Amino acid sequence: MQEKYFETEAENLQKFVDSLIADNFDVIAPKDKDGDVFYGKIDKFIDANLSILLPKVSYKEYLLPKTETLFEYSLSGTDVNIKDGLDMYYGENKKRVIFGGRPCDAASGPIMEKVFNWDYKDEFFNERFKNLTIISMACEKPDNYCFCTEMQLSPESSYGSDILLKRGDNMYYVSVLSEKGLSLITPHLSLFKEISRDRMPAGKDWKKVFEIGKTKSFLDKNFEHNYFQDRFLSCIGCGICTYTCPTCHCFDIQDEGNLKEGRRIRNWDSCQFAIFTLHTSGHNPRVTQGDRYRQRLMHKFKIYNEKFNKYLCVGCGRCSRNCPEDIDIKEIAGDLAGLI
Amino acid sequence: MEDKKEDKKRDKEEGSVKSDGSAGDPRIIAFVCNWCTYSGADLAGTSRMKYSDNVRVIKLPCSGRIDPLFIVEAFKKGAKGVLISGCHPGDCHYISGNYHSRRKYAAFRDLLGFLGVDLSRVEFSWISASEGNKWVSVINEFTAKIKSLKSSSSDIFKK
Amino acid sequence: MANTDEKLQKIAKDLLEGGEVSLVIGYTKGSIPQRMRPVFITKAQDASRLSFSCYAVQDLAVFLKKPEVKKFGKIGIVVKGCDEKAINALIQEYQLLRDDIKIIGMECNGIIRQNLADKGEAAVSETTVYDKCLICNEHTPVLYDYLVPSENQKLNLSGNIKPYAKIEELDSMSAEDKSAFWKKEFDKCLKCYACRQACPLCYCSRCIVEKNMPQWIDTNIEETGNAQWNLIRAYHLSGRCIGCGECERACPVNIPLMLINEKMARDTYSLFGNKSGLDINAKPVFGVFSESDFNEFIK
Repeated sequence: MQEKYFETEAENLQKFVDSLIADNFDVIAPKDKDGDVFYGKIDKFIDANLSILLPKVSYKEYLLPKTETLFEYSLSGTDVNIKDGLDMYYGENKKRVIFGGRPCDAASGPIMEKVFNWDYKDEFFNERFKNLTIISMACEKPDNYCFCTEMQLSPESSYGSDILLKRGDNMYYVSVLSEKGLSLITPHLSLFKEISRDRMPAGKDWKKVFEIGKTKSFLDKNFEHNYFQDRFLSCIGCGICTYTCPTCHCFDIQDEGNLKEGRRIRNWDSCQFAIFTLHTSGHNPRVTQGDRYRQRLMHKFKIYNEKFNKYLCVGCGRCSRNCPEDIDIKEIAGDLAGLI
Repeated sequence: MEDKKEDKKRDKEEGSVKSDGSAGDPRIIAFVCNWCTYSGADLAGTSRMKYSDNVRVIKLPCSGRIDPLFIVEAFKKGAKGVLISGCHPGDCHYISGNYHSRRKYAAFRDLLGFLGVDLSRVEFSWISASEGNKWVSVINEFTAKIKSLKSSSSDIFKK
Repeated sequence: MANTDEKLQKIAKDLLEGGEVSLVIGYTKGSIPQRMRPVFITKAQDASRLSFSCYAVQDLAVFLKKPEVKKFGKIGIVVKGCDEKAINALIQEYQLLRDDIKIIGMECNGIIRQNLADKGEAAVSETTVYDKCLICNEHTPVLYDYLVPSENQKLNLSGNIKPYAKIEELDSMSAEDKSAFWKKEFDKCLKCYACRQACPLCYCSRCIVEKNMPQWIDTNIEETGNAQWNLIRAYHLSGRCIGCGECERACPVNIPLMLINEKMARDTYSLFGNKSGLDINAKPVFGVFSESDFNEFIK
C-alpha cells in the first residue's frame, strides 16, 4: 500500500481513540497498575500512560495467549463432542487495537509470524495477528537497555506497525502504513489532516553500540566457549527474560481433563527451565544454565536469522530491565561482538 | 459402611467428582486414616447407622500421609467439602503421624483462609475405631454446614 | 562506601589466597549505577571487583542450590542479615554443611526498592526501602565468619509507615472479598516460576509443578492453575520463608507474594513459636511437633 501521512492535534487523537472504544474496539494500551505500567484494556483515552518508555511485559499475549485452548471434548453417553478452539477465539471480540506501543513491540508480530507459518500454518496465531491493528508511538528517548538500533530497527521504525505516531508540539504526525491502519482511520478522517511526505519530520541518526553481525559471527564459531559458563553462573533460570520478551514464543502442549471432559491447551514455556530439554531417560542435553542461556542467544541471534533472515530480537531490553540478577543482554551481545 | 459399592460408584465416575444435583450432592471427600477413622466409619456401617450419603471415603495409611495437595485435588475435581480425619492424639498407629499432620494442617488451614477459601469447607476430626457415632455426627453436621453455604461460595481452584 | 568495599575485598582476597574457599559469591557494580549484580570470584586478583551498597538487592544464598555452584566445594558468600537467614535455614534442613561455607556478613541499614532505584532514588529512608527492612531485626547477620560494618546511618523509623499493612486489612475481610482480591492478583500470574527460582529455599531438584504423574498442579496459566501454583508455593514456604522478599521482587507482574509469606511467618510464629533461619541447631518447624500443639480447629 502507498503510505499516507497526516497530522492531528493531540486532542483529536484523544477523540479518535475514544471513538474507537465507543465503536466497541478493545483498545489495549500501556496502563498504570501496581506501581508499574502494563498493557491492558483501557476504557477511555486518559487511562493510557503514554509518558513511559515501555510497559514491563510485552503484548505478546494478544498474539499468543498465556494459555490457549486448541480444542475441548466432552462425552455424553457414547457421543463425543469436540469444540474447536478457534471457534472459541471467534467468540472473543476480534476488533482489537494496540495503542501506544513502541516500534520494537510492533516489530515482534511480523518476526514471529515467520515461524508460525514456516511449515505448519498456525491458524490461531494467524487469526489473532490478522485481527490486531497496531498503532505505535515513536520513541524520543531510549534508555540504557534499549538496543533496537543494533537489531536493524530504530526508535522511529515503522516495521510491523499499521499506524505510526510521532509526537510533535501538542500534535502528532501520523504515518498510515497498511490497509488495516487505513481502514481504522477512514471513518474518522475529519480528525486528521492529510499532508505530503516531505512535511513529515526527518528521522534522527541513531547511534549503534555494536554490530549484531559480529555477535552472530561469534556465535557461528563458538558453540562451546567459557564465556557462556562463566557469565551465566549468575542466571537463576527464572525465565522472566523469555516470558516478558515480545518475540520468545515457545509453548508447551498439555492435556487437561478426564475421560468425561477435557481440553488440549498450549501454555507459554521457556528454554531457561532445566525441564525444558529434560529427556524421559533422565538425560538433559542442556545441563547448565550457561547452556540454556546460550540457547537463548543462539536462537535469537543466529538460528532464527539463518532460517528466516530476521533476528528473533527487537532490542526492547525487557529481559535486561526485568532480570532479577541484572543480566544485560545488550552488554552480552556487545561482549560477544567484541570477542570475535 | 458399604465401601465396595462406594468404590465401584466412584470408579464409574472416572475420577471426576461431579455435583449433578443427585443424591451425592453436595459432594464431600473424606480422607481418613486406616487405623482409627476408617474403622470407626466401618463400625458405623456394620452397626447399620444411617448418615448422609454424599461422602466419599478415601483411605490412607495415616493422617500424616494426607498431603495438603489432596485437599486441593478434591476441590479441583469439584468437591464442595473435604474432611481430614485420623486417630486421636496419642493413639497414632505410627506413634506421631497425627501430631505431624496437625501441625501441617494448622498452617495450611490458615493459608487457605488467607487466600479466601471458606474455611467451613474444610473439616478436621479425630475419630477412633470405636466412635462410629462420632463419624455419623461429624458427617451429618459437615453436610448440613456445606448445604447452608451460599452457592457463590468462593472457589479459586475450580472454574 | 569505599572503606566498606576495601574491607570486603580484603576478606575475599585472603580467603581465596589462603585456599580456604574456591569461590566467593558477592556483589559488583551492575548495568546502571543504581543496580548491583552477583559476581563469582575465583581468583584473588579479581577480589577488587567486589562491592556493596544500598542497591545490593539480590539474595545471593539462592546460588547455593545451583549444581554449577555446588561444584566449587567450599564457598565464601557475601550476605546481608536477611539473606544470611536463608543460609541458616539451609543448614537446618541439611542442604548445606556449616563447614563448607564462609559467611561474609554485611551490616545493612536498608535496601532501596529496585523500582525506585531504577528511577534514580538514592536516599535510604523508610519510604524508599523494602518492607522487610522496616521489620528487620538482623541488620547485623545472626551468624557470620567475617563482619563488614556499615558506614551508613541507621534506618530512622518514625512508626508512621506500617509494613505489610495489607495483611491486617485482608484478615478483616470476608472470604469472598479475600478470594476476589487474590483472584485478581493471581490472574496476572504468568507461571514463569520466577518466584520459585529466586527463592533460596526452593531447592527441590524437581518441583511439584514439574511432576505430572499425577498432575497435581494444573498446567494452565489461567485462574485455576495459577491459584493452585501460588497456594502450593506459599504452603511449601510456610514457616520456612526467611522473608528476603526475592520472590516478590522477581515477579514480573508484581503479585504481592510477601503478603502471603509474611502472613504465614506470623501465623507459624504465633502457633508454634518458630521463626525461620535464626538458629542452625533448631529443627525445622514442620519436622517436629509438640503434644500440646494448637488443636482447636479439630473436632
